[in-house]
Amino acid sequence: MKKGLITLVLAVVAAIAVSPVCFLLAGMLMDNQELTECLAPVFSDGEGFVRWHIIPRYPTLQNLVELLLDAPEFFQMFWNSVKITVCILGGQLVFGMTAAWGLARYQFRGKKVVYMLFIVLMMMPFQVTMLSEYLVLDSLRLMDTLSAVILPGIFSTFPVFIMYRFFCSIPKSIIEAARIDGAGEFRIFLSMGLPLGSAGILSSLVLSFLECWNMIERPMLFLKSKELWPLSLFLPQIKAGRAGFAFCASLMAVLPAIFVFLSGQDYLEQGIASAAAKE
Amino acid sequence: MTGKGRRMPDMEEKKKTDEKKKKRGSRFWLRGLALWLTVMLAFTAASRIADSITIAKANTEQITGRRIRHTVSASGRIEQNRELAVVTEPDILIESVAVREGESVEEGELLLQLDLESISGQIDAVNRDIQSLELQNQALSDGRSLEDAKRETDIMRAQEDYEETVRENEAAAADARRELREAQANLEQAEQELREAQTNLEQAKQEPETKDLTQEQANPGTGAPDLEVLQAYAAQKQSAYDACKASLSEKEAALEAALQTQKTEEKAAARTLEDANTPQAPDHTAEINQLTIEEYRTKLQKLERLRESKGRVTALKKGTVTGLYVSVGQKTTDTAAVTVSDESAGYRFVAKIQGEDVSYVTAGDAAELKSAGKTVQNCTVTSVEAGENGETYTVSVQLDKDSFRPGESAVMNVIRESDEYPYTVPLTALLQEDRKTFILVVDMENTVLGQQYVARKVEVTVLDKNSDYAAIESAALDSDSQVITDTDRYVEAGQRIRLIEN
Repeated sequence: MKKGLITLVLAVVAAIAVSPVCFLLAGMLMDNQELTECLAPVFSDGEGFVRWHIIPRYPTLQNLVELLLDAPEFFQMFWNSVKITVCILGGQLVFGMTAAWGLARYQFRGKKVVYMLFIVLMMMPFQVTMLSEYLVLDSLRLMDTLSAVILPGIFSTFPVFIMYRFFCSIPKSIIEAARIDGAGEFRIFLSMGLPLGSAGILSSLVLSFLECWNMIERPMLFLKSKELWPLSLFLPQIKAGRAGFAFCASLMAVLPAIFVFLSGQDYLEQGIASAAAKE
Repeated sequence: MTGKGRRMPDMEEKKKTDEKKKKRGSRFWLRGLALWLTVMLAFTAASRIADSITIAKANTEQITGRRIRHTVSASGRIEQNRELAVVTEPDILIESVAVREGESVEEGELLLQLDLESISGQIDAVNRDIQSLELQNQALSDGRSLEDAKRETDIMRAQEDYEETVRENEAAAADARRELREAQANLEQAEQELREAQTNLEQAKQEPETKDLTQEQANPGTGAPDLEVLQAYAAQKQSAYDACKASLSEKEAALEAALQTQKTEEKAAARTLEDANTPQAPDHTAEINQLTIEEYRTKLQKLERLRESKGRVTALKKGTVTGLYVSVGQKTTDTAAVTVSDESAGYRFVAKIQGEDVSYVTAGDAAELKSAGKTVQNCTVTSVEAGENGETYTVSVQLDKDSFRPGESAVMNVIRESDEYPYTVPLTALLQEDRKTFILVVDMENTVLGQQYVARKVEVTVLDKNSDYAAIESAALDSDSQVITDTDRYVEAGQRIRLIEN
């Protein structure tokens, strides 16, 4: 009984949480006339309330076909997003992982200061650092290039923090045993650190993916050429009256994130649990 | 073996199984992501292919400055400046025709051969006509003399009748007057006597002593007259007076009647005389006949000359036969049988142009004429005249003698160049919408797909144009602009285009 009640409450909350996605799916299959009728209060000075049909009265694939075959700019932005995300994640694996291992397993002068810096930088919102980033990128002549978005992402502090927690949880005795067996530091990192910290690495990659895939401020600020814009900047360009097309584009944009989340869901849970436990 | 030892392996197996499931689930979603990316890649290609198919391809041209050349072309014919009509005597049979239309002839060259017998017949007919008219005139002349004599006789008789009437009527009137005078005298006399008798009667009535006197007077020698006698005498005088008065009236009436008769008869006689003197309507038949005779004589001379030349009709001047209005076997008419252009007067080219072209052709302009295999330049337009309807104009170009033949067709080209305009575009680049003229120029736009060519609409004013180019004016143009001259599909402003490389 108690379990059923809990399930019911959770189901209701889940339904509310999932409802925007359901609206998205329904809107994607509606034609422009039906959407105009439902969304008329939005476009007509806010009089009345929006009506919505969970199941469209006149379903059509017109918007989907238009998006997939008649909107090459969507795919240009999609692959820009893929490029940015893959480069950032790759960079984080190279630099973030090694930085987190170094902070977690080694003692050096100024370690606490560096760690504090990482924490402070992680806490700062983008609006605080964007001017300094702009000046640095401009002096490096990286403005209006994908590197202006990728490089700051590679050297982001949040993934380091996540992976640091996991690397810290690796028992010293295992590392020492490996050293005694004659493994070098890099070997220890590759053979011991990466497998044992894989949960943290993957969870940070999932979170980083979600952050990079939905990035808006940096591209809007640093990328002037529209051909470099990521997918997150496509939706604002869709004009009013093309709501169905916008719904389709939104769904296409969210699908990769869903795939990545579902594939890395367990590691994400482990990462969050680990962080909570450490706290 | 303890229970805990047996639970330990179960938990580990369960843990391993859970991990395997999680890994399988994770791999499943990763494969889904890979598949999704593959599908997106395929649709990326498909979308690009569809875009390359749907994007409009455009031909462009640089906007340059140039002069607008107006070429007015018109087809027309060569005409002679002077044309001579060859007229011969009518009603003569044509034996043969020696020329055809468009043929060149020399002066004196045979044009027509007329039948000599027909000419001779014409001559005979004319002679007969002349003779007939002469006889008519003779008859007219004789008849006129008789008429004149008769008329004189009538006049003389009328005159005599008139004079006699006047005389007789005057005599009658004189008699009537005389009788009237006599009647008047008698009336006066009677009146006098009456008056005397009345006086005596009055006196007798008034004085008795005078009675005797009265009687004595009434009856002189009788002693004293009687009153009754005086009365009777007075009555008698009264009667005599009345009778004289009546007679006078009759005489007056007779005089009046005589005068009236005189007037009437004299008037009638005068009219008769006047009628006799009225001149007769002039009869010019003889003169007309004489004129006709002279005409016939002239015609006879021509026919005789024609017979002397053995019926040959030749060209008067060197030229080209422009019209042939007779044929073998027909008879000649009184209109031109042949028309020949006078080569010495030269030729001109005549063509019609539309009203919209007339502003580019004026007298004095240089013109070029082209005919089959021949081009003559440096001709001059001599005149441009409006047609009757005002929509077409006739252009004349003077030609040299040897350049063309009359009747030949040719094409005239008059070229006029305007001043240099800074912006000119091909005519195919001009578009019309809502009564406004605009062009589409190529702009480079920074789009999601990179630098793309986009069509931009620019409203222009057309200053001048010919069949190929138009001079335009707009504040939004510069010399580096590329204008879209042609597309393979409809292009709207703001639409992406693809340039066709020439």
